[in-house]
Amino acid sequence: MSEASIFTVSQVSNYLKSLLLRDRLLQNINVIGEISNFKLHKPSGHIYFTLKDSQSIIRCVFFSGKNKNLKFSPAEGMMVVARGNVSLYERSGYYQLYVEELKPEGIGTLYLAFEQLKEKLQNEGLFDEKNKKPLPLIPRYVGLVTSPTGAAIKDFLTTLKRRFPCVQVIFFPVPVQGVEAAPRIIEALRRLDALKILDVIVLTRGGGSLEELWPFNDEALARVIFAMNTPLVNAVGHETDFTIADFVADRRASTPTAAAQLIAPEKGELIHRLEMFENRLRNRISGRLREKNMALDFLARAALQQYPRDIINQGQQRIDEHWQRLMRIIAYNIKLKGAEIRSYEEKLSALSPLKIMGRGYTFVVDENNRVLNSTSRLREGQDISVVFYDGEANCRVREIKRKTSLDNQLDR
Amino acid sequence: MHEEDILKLTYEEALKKLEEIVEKMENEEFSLDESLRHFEEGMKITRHCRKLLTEAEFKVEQILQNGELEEFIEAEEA
Repeated sequence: MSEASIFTVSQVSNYLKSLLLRDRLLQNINVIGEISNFKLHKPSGHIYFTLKDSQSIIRCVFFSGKNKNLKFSPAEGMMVVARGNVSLYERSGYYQLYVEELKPEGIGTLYLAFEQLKEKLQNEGLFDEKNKKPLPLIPRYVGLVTSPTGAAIKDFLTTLKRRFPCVQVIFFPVPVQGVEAAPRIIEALRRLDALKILDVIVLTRGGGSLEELWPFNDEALARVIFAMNTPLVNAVGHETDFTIADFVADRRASTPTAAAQLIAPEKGELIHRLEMFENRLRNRISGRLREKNMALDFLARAALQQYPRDIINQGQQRIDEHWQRLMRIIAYNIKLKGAEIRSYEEKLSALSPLKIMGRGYTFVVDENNRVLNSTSRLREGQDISVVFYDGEANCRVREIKRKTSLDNQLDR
Repeated sequence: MHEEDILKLTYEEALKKLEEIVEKMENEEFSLDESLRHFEEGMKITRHCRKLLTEAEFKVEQILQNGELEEFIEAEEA
């Protein structure tokens, strides 16, 4: 290449870029440093930042396609390890690290421990759905394991009381962060589980940093939760914070308030549901009674139309029976009641249809035994029967004399 | 079901039984006598459920170090 050769800016950039891309080390490199100038570009989701140490900085870009599986929130000043490749950004003429993966350093080791424990317990089946115990529909006795101070217990108790004010809470105070927390929580859970009267136990605390939530990633705690006989609801942190205890618990709630909502249904709703059942029962039984009444009415009407004779006969027979019973009673009581009883006897006998028929009343039926109560239903030459109290006479109609409507009016 | 057996039911069991009875009454034909019997049983179960929902009052007790229970009073906000 001669000294006189002249290159364009782009040619130089391209040449440099090709050099960088050919370098094996630069194509897959881990860089440790502190985050600064952190920017999340909202519309695209790309993340821009620089990594720095005491002497130098390097620009980094973390594209949205790569950063969507990020398991922590990077922030200013955080020590991280970024893996990626170094290349040249021709437009601005500077080199930068194109990040493939970002891990927090320091808490990064905690994070790794979390991931490893999670995988181990998962493989052992501690998170399996088939081992999850169902929550009771309504709890009577609720175990509560949390700190006696702070918003968590307040939120939980307030919500529980508002929704379902007929439970007894057995509260076991524990520290919820620090080295003491995990062993004390384990003791609390063991002792509450051993009570055997609790319908559900709630383990809860408010949100916090990964370090603060660390006791809930304790392996021994996970194993104790798994072995418990009482259903456990774990509600640690906020919606986005997951701990090992969340995975092994029978149910996870995102917040203390959500835990209260999960274990206790709204009492009003339950009462409403009961009332619906009650109404269905009532409707059904009154429906049945209505049906039966209608059937009875129908039968009675049909019977009246078809068998008037029969009804009269049966009625008479029953009257006779009652009469005889009364007579026996009267005869029995006559010595005691005397004149009083006799007056009843007279009243009763005056009411007897037999007595009425005995006084000369009869009724007329046609050849089908239908009672005839009007001349309008008669025709000359028709065969009819006149029914007496002691028999009947078969007759033929010779002549019909109808009252005129004027006669009717005069009669009134 | 006998009265004593109903009183032994948990809320879940009672509700399940109630649902069964209501559905049976709605979907099957019974004599009036049987219907009334089911109705009475259903009403007894709803009474029991209602009692389970209302009889206890809200109470928070704290387990002390010696294992005894003491009523827990929430700290007032400062």
